[in-house]
Amino acid sequence: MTPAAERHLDDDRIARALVSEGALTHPERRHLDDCRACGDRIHRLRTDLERLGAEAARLAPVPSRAPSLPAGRPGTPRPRPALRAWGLGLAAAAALVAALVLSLDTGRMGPPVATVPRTVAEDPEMIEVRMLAENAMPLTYQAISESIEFDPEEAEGFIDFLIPPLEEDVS
Amino acid sequence: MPESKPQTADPAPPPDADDTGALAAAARNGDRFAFSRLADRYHERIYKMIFYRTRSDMEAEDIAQEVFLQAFRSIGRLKDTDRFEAWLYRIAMNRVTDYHRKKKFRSLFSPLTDWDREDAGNPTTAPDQAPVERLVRAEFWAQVRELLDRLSRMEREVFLLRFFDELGIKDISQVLQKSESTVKTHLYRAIAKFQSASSLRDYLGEDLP
Repeated sequence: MTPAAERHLDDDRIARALVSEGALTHPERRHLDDCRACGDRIHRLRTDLERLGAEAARLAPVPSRAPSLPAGRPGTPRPRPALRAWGLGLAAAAALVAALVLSLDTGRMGPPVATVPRTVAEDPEMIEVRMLAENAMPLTYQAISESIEFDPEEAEGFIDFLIPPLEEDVS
Repeated sequence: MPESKPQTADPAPPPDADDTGALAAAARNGDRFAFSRLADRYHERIYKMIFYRTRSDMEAEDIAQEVFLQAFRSIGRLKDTDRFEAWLYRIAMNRVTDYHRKKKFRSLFSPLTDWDREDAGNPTTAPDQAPVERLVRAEFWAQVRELLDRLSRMEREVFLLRFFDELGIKDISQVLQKSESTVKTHLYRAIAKFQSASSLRDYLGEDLP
């Protein structure tokens, strides 16, 4: 025996030997032919795996009913079920989007857009509201204030009178 | 005068009931009886195959039903009737994948963990079993779960198909649509991990009931 053929097979080689003896090298196969210990290991592993499958089958439940098959001959598919499902889904999604857009549009705009400027422009209350928004001072006071000329120095003196500068207090 | 028989075409000879390929060929040609024979033959195996992957007897019933329904409708498209078994397992595998995908999505909205849910449908908790029987089952499936959790997804699938579902390497490669050498590589690795699963091997080494 060569040194390679004398060595026992490790777990990986044992696993390979179990799946396919062709996976082993020639010296390994020769070793396996002669080595009872390695042969026993493979045998034990195979037995364990067979027992595992047998136990699984024994301890798994059994079906309580046979499959029920549809009427008719086998091999006749339904009319493109996937396509039909996609079509229905797309149609439902499109309807939902359309309904959503319409409801948002109606809630936001109210009456048709073209009628809005005319209605607001002709409503006296709306005219007053618009004017107050631009300048809230009553028209009479606006007329008086128009004739007063603004003098920045006078304005500053008036403010100094109301709120004296801080330096004067300190000194 | 003897009554003359009506002239009819010779009916096709009935397929050999033991020959899966012949039954599949007849079913592909619309023979309902042949398909029923195939369903009878494979139903329990497909049911168990699904159970091994869902650990729920109720889910296994429902998914197996879907598998045979789909097979019934699509057998007209089966090219090689000798590969019926691999084709059927492929359908089942796709259904199981769908099931896990849906379960993962549902789990986003549910506080239950995977194992809670599986245990809820697990026959080990069925009340009509004797306590010892329940204990044996629970112990066995816990050991199997521990082993399978150590395997990668492909190793697990290859291992289950080979030793639980008892398919050959060629069939496994067709079910998973991988080359035979890829299947073997994953199988080596899975077996190597099984070798180190000492508690499961001890369990299998005991005198089983």
